[in-house]
Amino acid sequence: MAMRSKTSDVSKFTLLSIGAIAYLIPFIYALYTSLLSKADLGGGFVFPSRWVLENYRYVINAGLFTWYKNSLIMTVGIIIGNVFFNTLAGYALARITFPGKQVVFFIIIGTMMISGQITIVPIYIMNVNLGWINTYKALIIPFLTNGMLTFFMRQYFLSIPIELEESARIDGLGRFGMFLRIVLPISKMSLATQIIFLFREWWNQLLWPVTLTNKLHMFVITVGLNSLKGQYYEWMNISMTGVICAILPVVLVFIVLQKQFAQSLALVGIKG
Amino acid sequence: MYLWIPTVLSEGLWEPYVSQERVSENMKLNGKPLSIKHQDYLAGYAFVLPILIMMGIWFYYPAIKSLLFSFQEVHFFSLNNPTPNGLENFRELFKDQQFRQATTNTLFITLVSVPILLIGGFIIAYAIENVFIGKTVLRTLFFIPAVTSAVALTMSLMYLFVMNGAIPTFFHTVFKVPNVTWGADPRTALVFVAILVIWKNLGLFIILYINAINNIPHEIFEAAAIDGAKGFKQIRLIVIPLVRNTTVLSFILSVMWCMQTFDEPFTLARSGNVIGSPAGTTSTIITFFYSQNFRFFRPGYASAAACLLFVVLLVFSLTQNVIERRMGGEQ
Repeated sequence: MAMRSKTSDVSKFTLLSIGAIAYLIPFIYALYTSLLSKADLGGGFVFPSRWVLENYRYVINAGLFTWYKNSLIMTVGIIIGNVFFNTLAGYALARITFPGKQVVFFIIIGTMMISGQITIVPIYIMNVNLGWINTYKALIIPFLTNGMLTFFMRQYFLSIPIELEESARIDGLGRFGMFLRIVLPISKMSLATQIIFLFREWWNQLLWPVTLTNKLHMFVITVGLNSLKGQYYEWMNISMTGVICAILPVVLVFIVLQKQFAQSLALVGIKG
Repeated sequence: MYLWIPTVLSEGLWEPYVSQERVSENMKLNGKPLSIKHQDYLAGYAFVLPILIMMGIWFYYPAIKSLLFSFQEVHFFSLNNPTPNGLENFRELFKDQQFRQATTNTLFITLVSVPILLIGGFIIAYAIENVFIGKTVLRTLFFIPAVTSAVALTMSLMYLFVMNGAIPTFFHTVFKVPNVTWGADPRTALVFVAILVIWKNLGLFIILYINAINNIPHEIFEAAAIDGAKGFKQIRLIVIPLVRNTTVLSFILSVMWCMQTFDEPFTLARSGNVIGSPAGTTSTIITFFYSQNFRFFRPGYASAAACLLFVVLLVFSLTQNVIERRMGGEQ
């Protein structure tokens, strides 16, 4: 790894960049197509007679902002619930001793062994019985916990020095005080990891929202995008505009928070 | 995830005891052991009770219900009155031509995608880590598809692989692949789904391998260079053995994901009703499950398919684990 020439480095970089751009061709093509008028469609990659933004108006009129709003509400709701439930349980599993802890541990970890799709029908039925289909409740409440993230939090809490809590106890803090004032403030990074992991997972989620909603005003961005394709199958400039609108938020967040994304990816190791 | 379970369990047996001792030391420190111990019990239950309730209602109850469904005849319009029918669902599944096709398709996607994801991921990661300029930019670019949704990627690739488009024309002239819209022609649709799955997930495996390569101590490369191991020899003798854990992990993850392919064929179909189109050539086990539920309204039958998939995946991960452990023991 030590000796290398500058020129070979530049050529390697060029080669890889070409590879990367080829890999991103679908999105580059989508961006290009989204700026074409209907008259210019189907001509391949050529310079069009004019660039237009009218496709974006179409997509906005089709309900883009409603889909954004629904995706955002679903994702934020799920994130809040998960951070609350997973962090509390992870802390208890790492630090507090109580009878039956082993059983609790197995119950929480056991959810990792079963693929969630197996629960689709019963969850759908439960939502029908509750009258929750096409409501935010159906999109949020079933998904508020995550065994894998709980396990991740537990591992994190095991790694922080116990002396911190011991001294807090001597200072007279109870468990809750200790958790809130000593442990949580130094756990921001792990909470961020949870948030990013869930954001990527749920902003892109298709199976559950498509199962639990069927009204246009409750579509999330993935479902809305898919419906655009059905509606404007022949007008790919509109579909492609939808693609750009759907990936823009998550790509922007990714570029800003790259490092955290890479970290939360190490977690993917335990995801399935 | 499946890989981790046994390590998780063995750790789970040890670590709480360790921390228990430490906590009890700490209790003596306070002089009032009993009351603090009981306070801790209460706190412990208060901390885990919320998640237990949620998981019970929204995970274990539905999972068990689904298991029961697979032994029942369930009518979608009288969901709450299922009638037991023993193994009838499974018997029907094994005879069902559509299920057989879905299973074959799923296996095809898995067999094609997994090697390409692992080998491609490794090669690109190794190449990126050997460039000294613009590493961050390259990582970012290669990771972008992995943060976007499969729906978006599928839609844009669908319109790139259309008849007379640049890519199908190229494949037609060079490899004599029929010049068709890949996603809509029965001859190419399944290959196209595999391409979509690879395209979507490659970035993830690149990042996993980059992490693994970065974890190799620098001294090892230097020592290898002194001993004359360079280029391919270095890769074969040093890098590949040292990223073995990542390879095992990536193998399991990719098999799990490919076996559960859903988003790509769902998006490829013009509407949810014809999911698996054209002519069922892109149907997978999960799309079969989905359409049995929501198109043919047979939740019991669908649950049987889901349970079957679950059992297969569980057996796969357990086998994998046994092999892994045995090999680990020999080393």
